[in-house]
Amino acid sequence: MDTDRNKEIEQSLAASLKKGSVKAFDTIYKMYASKLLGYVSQATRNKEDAEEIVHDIFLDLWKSRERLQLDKGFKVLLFSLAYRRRIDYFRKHLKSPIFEDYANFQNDLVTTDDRPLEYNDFLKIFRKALEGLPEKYQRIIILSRFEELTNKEIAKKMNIKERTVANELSLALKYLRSELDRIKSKLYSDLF
Amino acid sequence: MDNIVERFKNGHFNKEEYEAMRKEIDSMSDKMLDEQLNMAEMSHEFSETEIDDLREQLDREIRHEAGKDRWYRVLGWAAAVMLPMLACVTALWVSTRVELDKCEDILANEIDISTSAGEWVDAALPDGSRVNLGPKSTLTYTLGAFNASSRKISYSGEGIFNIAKKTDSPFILSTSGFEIRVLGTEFSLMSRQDKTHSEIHLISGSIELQSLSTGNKLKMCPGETAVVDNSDGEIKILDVKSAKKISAGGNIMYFNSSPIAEVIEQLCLYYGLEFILDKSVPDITFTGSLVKDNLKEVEFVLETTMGLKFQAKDDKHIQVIK
Repeated sequence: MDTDRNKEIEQSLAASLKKGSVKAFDTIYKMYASKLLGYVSQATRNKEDAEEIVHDIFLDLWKSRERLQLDKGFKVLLFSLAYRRRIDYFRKHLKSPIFEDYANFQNDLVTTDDRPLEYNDFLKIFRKALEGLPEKYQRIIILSRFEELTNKEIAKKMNIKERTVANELSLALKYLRSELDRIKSKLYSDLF
Repeated sequence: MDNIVERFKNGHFNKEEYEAMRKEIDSMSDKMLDEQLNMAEMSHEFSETEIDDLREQLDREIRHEAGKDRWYRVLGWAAAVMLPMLACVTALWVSTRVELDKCEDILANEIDISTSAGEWVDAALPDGSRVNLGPKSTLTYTLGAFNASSRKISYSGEGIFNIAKKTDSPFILSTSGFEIRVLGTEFSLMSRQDKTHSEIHLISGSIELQSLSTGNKLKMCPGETAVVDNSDGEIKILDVKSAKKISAGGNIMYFNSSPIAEVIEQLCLYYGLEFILDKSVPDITFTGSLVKDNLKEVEFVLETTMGLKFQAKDDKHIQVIK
């Protein structure tokens, strides 16, 4: 029976993995990495996020190899890890600072028309405006708005003071706001 | 009509719609959200190469984990060797000549723990002392010299030491040119033959340094940093105000007008990769700090402050150009 044979294979993989076999880990990776990436990418907005989640899942598997309990097989084990991480990721991303910027931008802007700006159009303009910033400020914006790091985390990552991050972030946002304004009015004037 | 996840991912919403979507998703149970996610498109495709690259990244982290296990096994062996040694000691009183020879062999057996570039490894000594070995470092001791009357080890490279307190058995660490005598304490050390100076930073407890060439002794207090000149064995305590930061043990490398070649050399040491300095890079100097455990951050700092670009040629070689 095919499923009995599969069960045997998985049990022996699990036994080898428990003993620390990198080869067994490799086999399991090759069996499931691609499917997990697909599953996870239903929620992610870019490739890197999907890869990071799957990376964490496999690292988890390796780190907990000695306590491995394989009653339901690797598919169930790995996908239940993925289930949790995928949901947590999506919920967190829903609250990303970039959406706040989008909302604030709508409020601050003096619009020449009644049509509200769609988010993805806003995103295009935002990215264009970002190019005008020096690299260091671009990085702070990306870390804060897109990678959703706190000022403290950014300070640690960039090896600067938290206060510096706060100051530079507000300068960058100020610049972006005026740039966004300029680009948007240009866009619409081009349209008409 | 797209499902809510799709709409959110596509960005086809205005401010009000965003707020409504967010409210809806917040109120969904995990199970409901999972169902919605299952209906969404798999936004990206992953090539074989990308899947392999991800495996490579995992490989590095896994080898680091496996490395830790290796040392526990070494210690298991060392403990196994201790037992016959104890058996020998009691047998000594009534033993024959032949057994005496066997004991001497065991006691003289050298135990070696070494790391390569890019590795940090934890090791434990038979008295419970802990050593965190930095890259390209070696810890050596023999069971015969590590016992109840004195605990002797040799060390070269970089490490953080947490030495168990044993008042009747002084802990003596020999490194190139000087010895560190320890009673019970925590300190970090950087001593390499190819460098001009060695650095010792005392975190807690008390240690005494003795130069093997001049015979001079110097006692250190917690918080102090000493620098030993490898050429003449002179030992100096750094003035706190002169604030020369040392890299020993900690997470950060400090550079003060260091030539870029030296910076690159340190990167090779801590990251275990080969950085190749391209001809296009002039003889510039770097002043600042770089971390020892995050390559992306290092590349970013050097990119923004010095305009250097890092290009990976393969997994072991990275070219640095201007």
